[in-house]
Amino acid sequence: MLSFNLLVAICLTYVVFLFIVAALAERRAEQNKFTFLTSPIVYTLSISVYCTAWTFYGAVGYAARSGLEFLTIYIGPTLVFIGWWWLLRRLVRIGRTQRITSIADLISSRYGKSNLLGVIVTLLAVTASTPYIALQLQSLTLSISVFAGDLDNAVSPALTALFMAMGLALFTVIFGTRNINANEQHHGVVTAIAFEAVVKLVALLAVGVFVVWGVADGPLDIMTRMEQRLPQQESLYSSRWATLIFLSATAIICLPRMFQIVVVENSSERHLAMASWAFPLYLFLMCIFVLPIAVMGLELMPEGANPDLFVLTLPLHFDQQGIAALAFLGGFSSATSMVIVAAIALSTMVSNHIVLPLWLYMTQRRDPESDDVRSVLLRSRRISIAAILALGYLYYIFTGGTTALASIGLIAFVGAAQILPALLFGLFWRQATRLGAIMGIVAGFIIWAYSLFLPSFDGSFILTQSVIDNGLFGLSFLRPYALFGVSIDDPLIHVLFWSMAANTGLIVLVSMVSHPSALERLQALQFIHIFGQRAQGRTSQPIVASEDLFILAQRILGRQEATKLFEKTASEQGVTTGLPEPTGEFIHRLERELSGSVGAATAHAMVGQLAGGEAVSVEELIAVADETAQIMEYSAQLEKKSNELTATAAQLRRANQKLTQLSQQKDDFLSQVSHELRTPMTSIRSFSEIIRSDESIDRDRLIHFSSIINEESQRLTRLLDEILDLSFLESGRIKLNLYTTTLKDVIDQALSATSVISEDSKARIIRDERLEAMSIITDRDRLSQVFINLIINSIKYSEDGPPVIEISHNRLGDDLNIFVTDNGPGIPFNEQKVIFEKFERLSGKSWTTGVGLGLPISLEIMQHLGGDLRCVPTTTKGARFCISLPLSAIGQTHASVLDTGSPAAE
Amino acid sequence: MTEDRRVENSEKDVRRRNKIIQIALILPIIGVLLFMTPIIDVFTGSDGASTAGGEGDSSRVSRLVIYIFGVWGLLIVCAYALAHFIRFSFGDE
Repeated sequence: MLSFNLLVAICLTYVVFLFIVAALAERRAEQNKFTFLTSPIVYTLSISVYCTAWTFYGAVGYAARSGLEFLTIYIGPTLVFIGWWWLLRRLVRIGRTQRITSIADLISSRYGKSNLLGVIVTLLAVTASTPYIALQLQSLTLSISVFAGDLDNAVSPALTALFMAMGLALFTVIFGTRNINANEQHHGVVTAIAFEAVVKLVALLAVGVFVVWGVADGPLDIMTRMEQRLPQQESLYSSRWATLIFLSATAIICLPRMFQIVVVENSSERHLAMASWAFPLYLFLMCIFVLPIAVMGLELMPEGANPDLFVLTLPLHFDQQGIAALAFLGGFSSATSMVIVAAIALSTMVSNHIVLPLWLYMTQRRDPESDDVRSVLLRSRRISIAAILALGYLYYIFTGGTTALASIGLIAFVGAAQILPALLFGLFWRQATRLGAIMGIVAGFIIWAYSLFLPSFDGSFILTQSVIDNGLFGLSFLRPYALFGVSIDDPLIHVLFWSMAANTGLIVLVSMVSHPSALERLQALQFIHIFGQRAQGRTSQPIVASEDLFILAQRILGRQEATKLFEKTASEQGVTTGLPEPTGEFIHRLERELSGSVGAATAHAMVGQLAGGEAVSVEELIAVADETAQIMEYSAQLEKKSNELTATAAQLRRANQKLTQLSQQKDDFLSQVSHELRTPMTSIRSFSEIIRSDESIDRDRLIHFSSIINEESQRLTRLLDEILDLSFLESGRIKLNLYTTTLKDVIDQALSATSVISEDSKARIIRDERLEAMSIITDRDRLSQVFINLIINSIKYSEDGPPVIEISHNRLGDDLNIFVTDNGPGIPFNEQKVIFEKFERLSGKSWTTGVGLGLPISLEIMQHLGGDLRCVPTTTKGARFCISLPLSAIGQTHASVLDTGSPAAE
Repeated sequence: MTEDRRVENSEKDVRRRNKIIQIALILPIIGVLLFMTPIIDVFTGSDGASTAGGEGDSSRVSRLVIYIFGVWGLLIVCAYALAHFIRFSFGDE
């Protein structure tokens, strides 16, 4: 018999060796030498953490008790891995793009980053893993007791389990919580697990080979013995066969430690391709000798021997110390690897979903980058690891370590399976909501705990034996093993059916009646269309090249600015040549610099993309959207301004045109003035010349010539007066002499001034008595000048017969309109405006007695009096001018007379 | 000419990839079916058939074991071939 002390020594040596392997792997990971660590072989081997002590010891026991049924536990995972294209590939891609740290994180992230869901899944996972950890402790204790059985000074099983739990906690704390890695990968632990996978496979194969060829007579002999020894295969015809395949397939996805290894620790999707066949092969090899060992154990071991320990007891029976020691190490490896990975996975969940939110809530700290958070995380993880192992230990003590290993493992499987509906609906059904997932998981959790987990304590914990037998409060339909009075023989199928029915049913129903939040919808789309997105490259560690940062900075800041910034940082870091090290501080600083150009959120997203391969969070997206909105508003303002500018430019162009026109008019005006001045000057000069040189001129001619000179001088004076007048009016320097007068006075003055010319032309003036009765406040001389100009024009331009000029009025709104209408040829429509320009005369009229300033002067006068003068169209022949006067200029006493204006008789 | 050939080749590649994906999707379904009790019975002979002669009964467990491990091994080989083709066809995605 192998000495107990030697066994302890082997164990310790093995543990030290594991420490060294883990430490070396960690160091290589720190040096970025990933070649072996991230190879698909290590990944595949680490997945074999699925094969725990339950497989190593329990599978043989299971086979001895129930025959081929043990295979279901390995067929399920085989099918999942062969079907990796369906589910695992999707999970791994989501895990990498969404930076998932655990299965609780995955569920929480899918359903709108709900922390409540994270807490629920964490609690479920911790509870479900407790029996599983207890199973490992139990198998370790059992295996040690095999060797220590005969010794007097042997420690009690409870104490052995305690030592084991403490040792495992220590190892896990050392290698599982050395650092908070951005993506929760533990190279040291994974490498150690891969190494342990080799140990357990070799150990089981060694025992198997020994049994088949050393004890029995080869495979054929085993086959023959199998027919007699193994129980007949009724289980294949019960629903248990299919149920267990389903359950184990679920477990490989939903067990926290399996999710940790398969999804979180995965560093490349290609590794999954290899694992898709290599992991089933591993399981195949683990299983191939289980039946022979079970058969030979049943045949050779004494009645009542624990079949769970055949792997150890068979070699010992034949005094094969070496094989027994190897088998023990294999079992030890299986148990320790499971406990370590489970503790890491669960502690991550506990610290991320329970401790950290609580701590943040309590301290109101919102700076996840500070060292404080890191230390809180590390501490909480260490404490969680210890607590999780303590729970496992307590379960072991409570259940007394008597149950068969397989049944304990299945309790954990059913518990973990409660996550499956939320997971699958989350991946494939967009409508699945947070509330639905919560209700489903909670319902499944309660049924599982009530009908399977709590009864497994056999009445020693919470549920008493009477409740287990008779139902809660004595209600028979609440009997844990026969819910709703339906008795299904197998408690496992019973609880799986009810919990899955409630779980799935609630998710579907509640999801259909509840509405997902915006974040939930967004996350749902990201999860469901994970392969529609561009793969975001994320290396196993957040490595960013300074070159990339420089390119980014250069693009945003410009080459000079970027070079200056990088050179400055490099000299501060003590780097003499090349680019500075991409330290966190530098990246932070760069981000600040960039945010000055592109906004904080965008800069964070950009640098984050480079630095961590970090997916852009919804908050960042929303901030980017805000910035975009601001930019859009800004650009709208710019557009408005630009429109305004365009309008102003058009106005300026028009003004410029007007100025050019005015300048042209000024030139025309000057040339007109000089022309107008020259004509009378010429005749004055020539006639005065004649008078002076011709001495023999007779008196009549002298008088005639002198009168011409006189007339021309008067005309010259008139012209100069008018020009002066107009320039006064235009410059606004005119002084108006306002007083109250009647329109009769005004018109009388005008008519007397034009009496000579109107008598000459036999003109008839039709006056308006009602109009003339009005008294107005005005400059009489100026207003009558307007009438004079209009009357003279009418007479001058009349063609056929004596001119008839009619003065009439009406009232329109606030204006009094006085019309002066004649029977002349009228003014063509296109010239109605032109006539108010200086020196403009009607086209086709060569008549030049007027200087063409009358109407411009009249218009200026009317505008100065607050009124207007314009040419209005008439229905009859002739021209019609309208003199508008504001009512304010009209005396109050006569305002009533104006109500109905109508032209009156002469 | 070379352009045409390249297009033809890429079309071939796409067809090949689609086929591989289809096999990858179908393989686990075949696996599930082959491990279901009625199908197992088809290949190993049900109890009813074997009780007729004592001989059949005595080799039943062996037949079951050989069948299950045989299917298992076959699935592994298929998965290996598939993984190989996927890597060959998809490159380092």
